[in-house]
Amino acid sequence: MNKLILLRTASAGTLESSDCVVTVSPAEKMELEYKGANSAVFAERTRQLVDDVANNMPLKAHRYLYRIRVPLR
Amino acid sequence: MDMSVNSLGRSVPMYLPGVGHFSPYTSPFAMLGKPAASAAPMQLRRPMPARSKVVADIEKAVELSGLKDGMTISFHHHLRNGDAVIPMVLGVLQKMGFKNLTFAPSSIPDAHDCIADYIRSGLITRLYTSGVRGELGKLLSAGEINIPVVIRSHGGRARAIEEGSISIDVAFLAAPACDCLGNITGHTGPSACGSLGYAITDSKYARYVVAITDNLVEYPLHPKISIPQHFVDSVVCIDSLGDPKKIATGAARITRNPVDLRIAKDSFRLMKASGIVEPGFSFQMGVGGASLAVAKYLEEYMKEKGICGSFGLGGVGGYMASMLEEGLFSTVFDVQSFDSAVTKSMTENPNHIEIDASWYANPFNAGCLVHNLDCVILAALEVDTDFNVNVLTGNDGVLRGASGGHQDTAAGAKLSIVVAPSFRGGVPSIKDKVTTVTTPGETVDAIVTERGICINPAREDLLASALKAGLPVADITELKKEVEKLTGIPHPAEYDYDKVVAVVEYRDGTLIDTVYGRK
Amino acid sequence: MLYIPGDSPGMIQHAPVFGADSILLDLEDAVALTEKDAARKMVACYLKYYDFKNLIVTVRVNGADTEFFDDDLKEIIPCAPAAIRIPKCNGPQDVLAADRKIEALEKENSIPVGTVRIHAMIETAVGLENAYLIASACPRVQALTLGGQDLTADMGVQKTKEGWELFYARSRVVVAARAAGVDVYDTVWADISDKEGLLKESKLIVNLGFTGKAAIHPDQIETIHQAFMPNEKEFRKAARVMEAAENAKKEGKGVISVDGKMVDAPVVARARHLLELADLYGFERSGS
Repeated sequence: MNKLILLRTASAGTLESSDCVVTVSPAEKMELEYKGANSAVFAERTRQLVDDVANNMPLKAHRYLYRIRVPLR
Repeated sequence: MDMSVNSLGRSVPMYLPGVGHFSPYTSPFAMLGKPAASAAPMQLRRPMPARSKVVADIEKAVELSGLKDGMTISFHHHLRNGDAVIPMVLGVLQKMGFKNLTFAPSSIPDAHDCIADYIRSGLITRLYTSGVRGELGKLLSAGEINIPVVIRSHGGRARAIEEGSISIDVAFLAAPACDCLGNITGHTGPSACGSLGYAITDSKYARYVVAITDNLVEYPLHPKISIPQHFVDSVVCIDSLGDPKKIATGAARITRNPVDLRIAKDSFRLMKASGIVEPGFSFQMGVGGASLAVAKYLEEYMKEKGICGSFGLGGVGGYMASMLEEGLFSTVFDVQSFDSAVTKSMTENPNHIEIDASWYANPFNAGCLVHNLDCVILAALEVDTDFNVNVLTGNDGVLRGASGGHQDTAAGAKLSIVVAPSFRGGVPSIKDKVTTVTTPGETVDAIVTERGICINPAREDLLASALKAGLPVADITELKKEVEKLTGIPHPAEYDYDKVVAVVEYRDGTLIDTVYGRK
Repeated sequence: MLYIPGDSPGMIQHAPVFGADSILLDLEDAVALTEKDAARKMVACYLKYYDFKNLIVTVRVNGADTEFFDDDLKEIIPCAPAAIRIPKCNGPQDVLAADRKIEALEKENSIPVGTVRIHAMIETAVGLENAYLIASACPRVQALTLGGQDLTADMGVQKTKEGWELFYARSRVVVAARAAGVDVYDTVWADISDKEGLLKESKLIVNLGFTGKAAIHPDQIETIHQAFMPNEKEFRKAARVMEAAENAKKEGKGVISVDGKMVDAPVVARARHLLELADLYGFERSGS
C-alpha cells in the first residue's frame, strides 16, 4: 500500500463538552501536546492511544506534532 | 510528623506544629453523650459609657483593639464574591506592619486570591477556614507555602470558637446596616446580605469586635438587630462593603441539564420511597445543579398532596424562600442567605428566622438544628465505594472546595442523600478511595447518580423501600466498574506525603483526613 | 425516539440516562458536511463498544443521493444497530436498493440476513403517494416515519402548530403502515419550550394510531410518554372488558357483556392492547 505523507495541518473535533480537538501538523519529531481539564489524569493513556493509531496508519515518516485540546472545566 | 491512622484508614497528624494536638476520627457521634467540657471564656469589657463608638478609620480601630503580632483575626463570608472588606482590612494590617497573624474567617470567598499574597508576605502564618479555592488552593497544594492550615465545617468552627480552639482576638465584621453604637443587621442596606449567622458566633466570643459599615443608620437600628451593640467595640464607616450584584445575586435557577434533572428526579423518588415526605417534615436543599433541582420535584409533590413541612434549613436560596411563601414550610431557619429574594423574605416574613452557626450545626451545644433535620441533599466532587465524600480536593489533588455544612447535615439528617454525576469531564466520580475524606460514609445514606442509586449497605430498610418502589438501585462497586468501562481508569495524582498542606477536622474536633502537597 | 446528533459524544454517552425507549443517532441533518466522516466513525465506535442497556439504537444514514450513503452503510451495518433510517424514500425501489446493499454487508460480516431493519422516512409528496408500497417493499422494513419538516417544504406549505397541513399525510402514513403491518412514528415538535403544544400534538397522533414519536430534547420524553399512556378511566374499563372476556371464555359463552352492553372482538383486542401498555408503564393492577 502507498504510504501517506502529511502535507499540511489538519484538525477534527470540537471543544463541546466531552469532545476534544485533535490537530496534526508536520514537525521535526514525534510530539504530543495534551491540554485541558483532565489532561493530567489521562496523559499516559492518550499517549498510548495516539501511538497506536499512528503506528497502524501507513505514514511515511512518523514525525508529527499531535495537539489535543480538551475543554477546560 | 507523628501520624496516626484513624478509623477510616486515613493517616492524620497527632500534633500539628504551630497549632497543637489532635485526636484521630473514630465515629460520627463518638464525642457526644458525654459530660460537658469547659467552654472558652467570653470577654468582659469595661469601657466608659459613650454615645458613639464610631472611629475615624480601620487603622484607628486596629489600634484600639490592641492587636499584636501572632494574634488571631476573623471575618465572616456573608458578602460572598462581592466582599471588599477582607482585602481592605488585610491591606491596612499589612501596611501597619503586622506579622504572623492567624487568619480565621468563616470561609474564603473565591474572589480573594490576594490571601495568597498576604501569606507570602508573612502577614498571615496560620489559616483556619472552611474552604480554599482558586489561586490560594493551587498555591497551597503546590506545597510552596508552609503554614499550618486547619479546615473545619461550619458546625465545627462554631464548636472550636466556643471551646477555645479558635481564640479570636479581633473580629472584623462587615455590617450592611449598623448604628453608631454597633447594633448590626444584614438584611437591609446597599450591601445587604441577609443572615449574619457566622458573624453572630464571632461577635459573642471575640475579644474585640470591629463593625465595618457603608450604611450608618440613625440610632437605634430597628426593627431587626442581628448582633446587639453590647458585643461590638468599634464602628468604622467606609464607602462600600463591596459589589451588591455579587453579594445578593439573582436566585439560582433550576438547572435544565437533562443529566442533572435525572439525578434530581431519582433523588426525589428515593425521598418519597423512604416515607420521609410527610406533614411536618424538615428539609435542607442543595445550592445549585442537581442538588437544588430536587426541590422542584419536592415542591410539586408537596403541593399536590397538600403537605406542609415543619422547617427548611440552610444555606437558604430563593427557591426555599418561595416555598416558605407558598406555605409549604412553617418556618425557614437561615444561617446564610444566597440571594436578594432571600433577604427580602427575611425582612418581610416573620417565619424566616435568622440563626447563628452554633444554633445551626455545633455538635457541642444543647441541640443544634441539623440534628433535627429529616432530609438533606448534598453535592460531591468525589465519592468512594465506602460512601465517603470529598468536597475539598479535585481529582488532580488541588484544593478547590469547602467543607461547609456537609459533615454537619450528613451526620444530623435522618436521610442524607449525596448527588453526583457518575463522571465529570471524562473522569469518574466514584473511586476506590476518595482523594480527601470530608464526610464519612457512615453518615451518608445514599449516593444518587444518573446511572443508578447506590444505597449504603448499613441502611437495609432504605434499600428495601427503594427496591419496592422499583427504583434503579445499583451496587456502587459495580457502578464504578461500569463507568470506568466508558471513561477508562484515570491515573491517580501523585503526592508528596512529607508535605502536609492542610488537616481536615471532623465537626467534633478529631481529624478525619490530611491534604498533602502535589508532587 | 430521541434524536441525538452523531457528532456529539457529550450526548451519545448519556443516551441511556434520558428515559427514552429508542434513540436515533443522526449522521444526516445534524452533522455538518465537514464532520460526516468523524461522526460516522464515532457512531460506529459507540455501537461497537458502548453498552446502551435496554435502548433500541437506530442510525439515520445520509440519503442515497449523497456521496456518504455507501460509506455510512459500509461502516455502520457491521455494527448491527437495531435499524437504519433511510431518508427521503420516494418509492419501493429506494427501499429495495438499500435492502440489497445491507444484505450484502450483513453476509460479508457474518451477520444473519435481516438483522438490521429499515425505518423508511416519508418526506416527499411522491413518497407519501407510495407509502404502502414502501412499507410493504420487503420484510426488512420495520417502520414508516414521517418527516414533517421536509414534507411541508416539498408541498410548498407552512408547517404550523395546529398541523392541519400534515393531517392527510399523517392519516395516510398510519393507514399504509397498518396495512403493511409495520410501526409508524410521527415527526418532531420543534418548539422545546412549548410542552403544552407538544402534549396536544402527541395526543392527536396517538389517537390517529401512531406507535411512536420523535423527541429532539430529553425534556420532551416525559410529555410524549404522557400522551401514550392510557388514563386511569380507560385502564379500568379495559380491565373490566378483559375480565368479562375471560369469564365468557371460561363459561363457554360466545357473547361478552360489559356494563350491560355487548362487546365484540375488536374492543377486546383494544382492551388487551391497553393493558399491555399499562403494564409497560408500570401501572399496578390493583382492583379499584
